[in-house]
Amino acid sequence: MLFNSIQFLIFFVVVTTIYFALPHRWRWLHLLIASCVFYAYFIPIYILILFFTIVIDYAAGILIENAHGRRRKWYLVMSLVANVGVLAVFKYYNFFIDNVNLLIHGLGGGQAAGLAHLGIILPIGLSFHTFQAMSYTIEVYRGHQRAERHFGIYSLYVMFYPQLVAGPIERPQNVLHQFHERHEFDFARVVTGLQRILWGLFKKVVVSDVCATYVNSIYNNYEVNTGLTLVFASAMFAIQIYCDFSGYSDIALGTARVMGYELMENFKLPYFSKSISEFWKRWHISLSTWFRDYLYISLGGNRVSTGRRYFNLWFTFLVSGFWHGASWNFVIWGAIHGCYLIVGVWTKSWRRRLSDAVGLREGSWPDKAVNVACTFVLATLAWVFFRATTFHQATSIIAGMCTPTHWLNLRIQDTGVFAAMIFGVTTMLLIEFFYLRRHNIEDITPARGWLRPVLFSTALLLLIVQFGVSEGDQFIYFQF
Amino acid sequence: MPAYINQLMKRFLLYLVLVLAVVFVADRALALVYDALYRRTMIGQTGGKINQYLSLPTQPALVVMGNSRAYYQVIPDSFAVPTYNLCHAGMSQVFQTALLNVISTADRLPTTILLHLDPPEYTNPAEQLTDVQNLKHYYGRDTTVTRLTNQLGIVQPFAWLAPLVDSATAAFSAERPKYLFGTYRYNGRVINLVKNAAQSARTPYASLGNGYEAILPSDRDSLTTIYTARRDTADPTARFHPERLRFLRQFLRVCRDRRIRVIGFTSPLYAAPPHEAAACRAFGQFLRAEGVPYIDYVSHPLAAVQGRPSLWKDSHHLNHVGAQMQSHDLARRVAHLLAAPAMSAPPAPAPLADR
Repeated sequence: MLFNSIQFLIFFVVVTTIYFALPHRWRWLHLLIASCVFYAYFIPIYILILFFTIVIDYAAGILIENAHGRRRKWYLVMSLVANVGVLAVFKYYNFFIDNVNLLIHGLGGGQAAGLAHLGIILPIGLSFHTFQAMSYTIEVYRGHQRAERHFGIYSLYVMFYPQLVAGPIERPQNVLHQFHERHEFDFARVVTGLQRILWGLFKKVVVSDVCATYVNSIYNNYEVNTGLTLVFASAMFAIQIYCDFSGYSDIALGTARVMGYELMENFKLPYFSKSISEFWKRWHISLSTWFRDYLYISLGGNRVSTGRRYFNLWFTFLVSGFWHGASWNFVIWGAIHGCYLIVGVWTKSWRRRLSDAVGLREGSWPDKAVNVACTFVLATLAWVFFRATTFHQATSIIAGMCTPTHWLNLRIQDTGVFAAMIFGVTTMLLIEFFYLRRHNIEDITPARGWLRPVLFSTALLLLIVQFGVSEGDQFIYFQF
Repeated sequence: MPAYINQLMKRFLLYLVLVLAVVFVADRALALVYDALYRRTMIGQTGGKINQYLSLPTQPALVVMGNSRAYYQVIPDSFAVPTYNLCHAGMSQVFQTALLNVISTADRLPTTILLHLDPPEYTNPAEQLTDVQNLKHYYGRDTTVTRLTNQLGIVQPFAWLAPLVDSATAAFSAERPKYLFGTYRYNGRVINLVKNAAQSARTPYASLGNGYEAILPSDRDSLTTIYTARRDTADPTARFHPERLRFLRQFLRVCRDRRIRVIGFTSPLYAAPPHEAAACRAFGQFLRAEGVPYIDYVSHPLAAVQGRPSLWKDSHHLNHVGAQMQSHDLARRVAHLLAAPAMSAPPAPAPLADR
């Protein structure tokens, strides 16, 4: 069930109304059933995969807590292997087979048929709920979280429908206790939750889906487009993917908030970052902190030699790229970001001296603006590999960006779509720049008077009705 | 439930009613403005072109319908009879069928329709119902548009009902509630509407011509054509899907009932892959069985434009110079059909939709 559908609207109203009507002791069951319905709406049979990992990790959590010495590690490894195994089969098997076949042909295997693909569709949100389940057993192993004895509550931790298919990838310390707590109806909280949903929906259907129309038309015909068109389309893709994913996160956070659950923030205006390292503290926070906590630190983190530290950094981003999808393009995207970070550390003092030499005082607004612009350009360049369907397409697009012939020839395609895109992006950026840099959506609360929240909700609703793409695509991150 | 929670819920309901009331008033006010702008819009593909056609002082004898491969390639002035190009870029047969109903309801049917047919639409197994969304303005005002839009939005578990029961389709359609907002009729086209309305106000629409829009030649045309032609490769898996003909069948049935002559044609491709030509031949058979003359420029290429990339905008579209050649040839080929006596006068308009 897509968040940007009428079906979800009905589902949300029914589930939330019943939720508040039920006594606390039955709410977990209600939410669990609702989450099963939500997930089964995509491909029902795949709920069995979720059930498999839930049973394994639930048992592993209790076994780890009760065991001592090496057995604890053994149970953890068992749980991790089961989770990674599910990912390997459903997400990476066909990619592995493709590469093995390529290798066989490359080594002179001729036109042999090669190894066969698995005829399966990737279960929606597999990487998200698998990582969330893994964080539970790791935290129990590290002693930061007690094993959950209530099977239903643990299942809900993995399956909670607002964040089931595209995160945020929660930590058990943040969420599990909330399922045990009683959440009363709170007027201000419900209103701000609904506003958060509307804001997310605005970003998805008014900005992201309109950008997608333009970006797709350019990227699908990349051979015939030149310089500025490719640069502009890539910048619009950067906005598209941000609004798509952060829009989803806003809807997830708002939906949970209405019922009284606080999920972790996943985005903090990443395109206002002044460096790539800051970008990763503001973009997909739940995933970047997951990799930091469970991979980077496990590899030794910063407490190793400089060379090893750089390798750890680069390797973590490489794996992060691979997490996004079974394609070399994602791996390259991750590797590029790893390189950005390493080069960023190397050149930090040199860049500072350069800024001083041209009169950009540290912390001044021109200095900030230049850094923000540079970070956006670097992120956008890397996004080309993320968006392109093949390596050849990505390199052709980057080559096209650099080709001087007809460079200024900006292809607008449909003037209506182009104007709507500029309108949506500008509106979103203005709200972010002038309001959200210093406040949260939650600050527009009816507790401080009804005028502002009423106007804010009305404006968003009208913008969505008039400018939103009503038959838009699913969220990009669902495929991960 | 504690009394203070009841109190909070009451406040929330009051708040909700207030928001909905403000939204309702603002929505209705904006819808009135947009309706007024829409009525004045006489150009553009978001309704202006349809308005212009419906407002023509004299009814053209020949109307060209189809997608961009007819929109930019068929010049009405090439024909011996008064002609209007009512094509809309990117629109498939479902749109043409719904549009036929719109002009029929307005009693503006011509005596002959020159219908462009694009083979890829019939070699693609997935139906492209979404194109009917471009006639959103007529939802609730035109039976075919309303029915097809409801079908488009039908919630998955009830999709099997769509071809069977119209009332069930409406009841389970996710599209229907969206039209509770008056402004939803202009969803995604507000900016275009304002722009086109302003432009229509500046220019007298009667002088705007005959619906044709030229793609002027540019120095990049040849390069783009050669580049894009490289993608037109043979697809051995492509096959003609007869089940995709349902909207074309409906279109032809309506025309037959209204005594409208239909002439089918398919515009040339710079480098037609074999499966496209095969689809056109299958088309030819179908149309012959239906008694519809068919001019197929894919299986029988137009010599004047073949192998000359400078006459094309890309491998699928001729530029204005190429369009003149195609239009001239097309006019010559249909001349004897247009000269033949018209079919007997159409009966009084009646709802066509629920067939």
